[in-house]
Amino acid sequence: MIGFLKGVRDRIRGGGEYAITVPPMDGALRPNNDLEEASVLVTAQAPGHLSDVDGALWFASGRDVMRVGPDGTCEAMRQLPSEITALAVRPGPEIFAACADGSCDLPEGYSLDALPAAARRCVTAIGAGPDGEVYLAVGSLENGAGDWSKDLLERRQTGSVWRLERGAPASQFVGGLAWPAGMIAPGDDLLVTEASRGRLVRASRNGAITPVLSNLPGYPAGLCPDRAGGYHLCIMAPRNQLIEFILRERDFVEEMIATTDRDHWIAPSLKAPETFLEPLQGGALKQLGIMKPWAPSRSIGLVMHLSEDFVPTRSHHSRADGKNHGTTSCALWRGDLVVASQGNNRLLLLPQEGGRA
Amino acid sequence: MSFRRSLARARYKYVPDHVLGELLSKNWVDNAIPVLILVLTLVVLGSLLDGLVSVSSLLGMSAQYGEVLLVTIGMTVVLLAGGIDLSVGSVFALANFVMLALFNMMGLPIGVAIFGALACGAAVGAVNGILIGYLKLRAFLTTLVSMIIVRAIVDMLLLSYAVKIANPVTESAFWDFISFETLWGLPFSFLAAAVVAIAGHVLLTRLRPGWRILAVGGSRRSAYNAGLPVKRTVASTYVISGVLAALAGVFYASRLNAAGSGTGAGLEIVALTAAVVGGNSLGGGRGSIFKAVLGAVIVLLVTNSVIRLGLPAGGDSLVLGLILLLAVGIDVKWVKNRSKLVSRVYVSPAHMELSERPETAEGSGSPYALNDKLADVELIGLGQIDGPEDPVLDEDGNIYAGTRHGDIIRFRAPDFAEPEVFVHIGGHPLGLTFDRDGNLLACIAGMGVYSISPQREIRKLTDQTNRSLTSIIDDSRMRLADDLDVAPDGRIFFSEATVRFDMSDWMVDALEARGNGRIISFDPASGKTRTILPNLRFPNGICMCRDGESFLFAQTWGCSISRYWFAGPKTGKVDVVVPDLPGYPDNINRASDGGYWVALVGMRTPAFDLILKNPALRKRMVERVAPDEWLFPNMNYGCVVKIDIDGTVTDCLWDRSGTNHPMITSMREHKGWLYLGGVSNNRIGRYRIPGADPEWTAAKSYRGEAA
Repeated sequence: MIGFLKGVRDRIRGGGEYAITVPPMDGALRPNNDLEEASVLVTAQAPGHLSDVDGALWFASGRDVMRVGPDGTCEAMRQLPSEITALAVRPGPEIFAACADGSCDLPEGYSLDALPAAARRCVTAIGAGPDGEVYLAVGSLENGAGDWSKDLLERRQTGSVWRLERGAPASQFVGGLAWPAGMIAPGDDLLVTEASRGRLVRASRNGAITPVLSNLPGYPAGLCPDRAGGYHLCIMAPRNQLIEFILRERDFVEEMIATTDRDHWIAPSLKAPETFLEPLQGGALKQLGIMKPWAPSRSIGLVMHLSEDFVPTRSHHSRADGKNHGTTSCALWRGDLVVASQGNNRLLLLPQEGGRA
Repeated sequence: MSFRRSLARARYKYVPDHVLGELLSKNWVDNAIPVLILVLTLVVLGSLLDGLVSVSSLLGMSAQYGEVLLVTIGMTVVLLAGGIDLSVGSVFALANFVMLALFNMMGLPIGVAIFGALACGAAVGAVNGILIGYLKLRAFLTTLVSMIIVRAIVDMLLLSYAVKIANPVTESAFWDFISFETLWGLPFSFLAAAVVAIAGHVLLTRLRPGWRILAVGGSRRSAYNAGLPVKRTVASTYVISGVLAALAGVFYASRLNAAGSGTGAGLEIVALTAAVVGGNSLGGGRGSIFKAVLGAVIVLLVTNSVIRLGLPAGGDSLVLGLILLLAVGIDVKWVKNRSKLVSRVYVSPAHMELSERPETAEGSGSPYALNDKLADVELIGLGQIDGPEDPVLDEDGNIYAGTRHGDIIRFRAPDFAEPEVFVHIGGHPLGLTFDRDGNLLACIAGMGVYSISPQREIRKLTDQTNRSLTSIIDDSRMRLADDLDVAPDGRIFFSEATVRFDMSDWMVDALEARGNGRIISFDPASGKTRTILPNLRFPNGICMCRDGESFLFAQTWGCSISRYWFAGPKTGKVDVVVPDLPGYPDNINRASDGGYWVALVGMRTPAFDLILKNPALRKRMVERVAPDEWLFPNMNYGCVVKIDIDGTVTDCLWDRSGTNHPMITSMREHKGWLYLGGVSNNRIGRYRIPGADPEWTAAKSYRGEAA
């Protein structure tokens, strides 16, 4: 009865479950056009999973493992049987890659056989640990690695992180995550982005999870440590009031998933709008031929810098009227920040203090 | 699932949700709360006290009611102008004393005595008015001081003359009449108050000085900026209040023929409570005489009942104070939240299900297949024009287009280099067309249908149609006249897109998807305007067919084009010509090959088609999501299609990226070119139609000289 009354009150006053709010982009997240104006390092099909190894920048693009040498030349190093969903490179180079069809390409002695088949098709990130071990993020047990927006709409929380050691079967490190999409292991603990919950968590060795940064205004993906301390955190899509609202409309979501094409869903997207079939929100109507940069959008590009205690200090944006959206991954290369815009098929170079660019 | 769905469909089809919002947006809904309080008072007190609600009891109160009502009306007028008058009780006592002194003691004629008493009231009011209106003193403190001073003067005079004034030295038949007699069973003071109430109502609702009072109370600064005499208006309300309080004092004198120190004590609280309980806002600008009448009834009923209930002395003041507190609280909350409530409940979606969306993919072989024919449209007046909804060309090839600023702009042929203001007319001119005499006819959002002669003389053709019986909002006025065309017999047929939203909110109508619009005909011969097709889903473009007996019209949210016969054997018949467009049709105009151009202002998206089936979800979205974040049809892309009279699509022009000419609301063919307009665009596009007749103009077509 009390619950019912509370529901009625919340409905009238717009509180509780009926409060549809999105954290504001303010303070350190005040908008700029850095990502839109950044120079393009490489153009490649849906690039992601950047890592810097001995001065070379490695990334995944479609089925290819790519490498940008210290001189800036880009070449394909290896081609895998299907689309690469996660990639990590260790000095050697030792390449760890997982593919959308469940296959993988790992150095001698490592194996994913202990993972359930569904998990093998949804490896979203691989991170190297300090003691030679490797961590594997599995986005979901219900959806493939390319189905994040579906997983979000279905409100799944079946993601997990696995630990891989040479010569030993993989073991689950933590579970119950809402689409872990990126991770690093800077010390004893693991930092994992939980995309669908919009937060960054610390997973300690005993399996305990502590959120270190919650209520992000977007869905976080890859992250990398900054040379000067702190971290760079990629946000792949913005949170949006309409989508927050749709997430509460379970029947509608089911029908939308069942009857319409995924590019046309009311869901976050990694790409700037391309066709008139995509949903449009009132504020994004072009007036006098111009779309306002602050228009509500299903996609943006955003990289934020966090201090060592996870307080955002500055950020780089590509806004609603821009194209460099779907920033899923970043890495420091020759001292500068490289950001992958998966939606616009390019690697962007953001010069940093002390960098070479 | 399907049973649930058909139940929901029936519910959104038959339950008129939109009525609630329309009721709440009515001004008279402010009376709802006082009426409710009155009914409650009557029920509660009527059950506590036998015979309270009886003719004799009410008649017994009527003399007193007349006096209270007069004072309350004065207080209401002051409140409406944003002030407050606490001196009414003292003025009441002063007028009572002056009346008795002049008539009883000095033996002056009754007319002079009454005039003297009223003049005293006016004088006190004038002092208040000058101090508050012209010298800008605080109304509360100023009238508090004048209350004390006037009261002191009355008390001092009473000390010397209390006995003398009570013994009349002359007689007057008139005075006796207003003292003791009744007219139709009612005392004179009650009738006088009724006359004042009617006069006050006329003043406030029908006359300029009354409107000024409301304007000043609503927003002093805006009234000042609008050039209203704010100081004089404020000052005059205190004079009105003083005179009415004095008049009440005169009636009191006639009734009791005595003066004491308690005369009129606490009257300011009674009047204030009555005014506020009636629903007059303490903040000014909102209220009416009717509310004062209601409030006075409530207060008088309550005070009389409290006395009859035998509460200890002072009990009536206590009750009055509590009522005042409650009324002020309700007033504050109501004024603050009413507009919020209206904005939450006004949008009320209806059920709608569109048929399957036609294929638009490039190379799909569909007649609507995507192409890039409009990619390099020439641009005219880029950045110089705001919102050319429907550009039109005259015989010399000059372009005319309305703008959001209420101008009709002309670009002169052949280079269209500089825009010039043809006329400034106001509103937002939308659909344009030329009649046979070369007059430019314009549908103007917010105004109606106007005619502009080549000599730039503006003439209103119509702005009113017959009001429908069941509509709560006044649908006789035209809110959003959209597009028009002229029949061979001279009748003008035009569409009004929606009767529920203004131009600035036209897109919100898409979320309702109800038949809110209509097509209206205006006959210049008889001057009559009639609604001929009601309940259409955003009727938009209108174009005469070449048979001279019918026209095509588009229903934007219905994604369809229909044909209506206004003459000939099929008169009154409506046929659907194109039932399922891939986008939202806007204007329709003739093409040189015998077909018709149709502008698609935006495209259907699968997501929006899906929420159209779900009115409850749209309602929740409107309630909980900020307006800028609402899902709309995709209007960032536009397209032009050409159809023949049977609805077969013969051509389709796209701008794939939507950058050169986003949003197309209209197109006009003229001598081999197609001119494009957009209601939220800042340019007019110009597209060379391959193979089109280079001599064809719409005027020739309408004269029957060309296809």
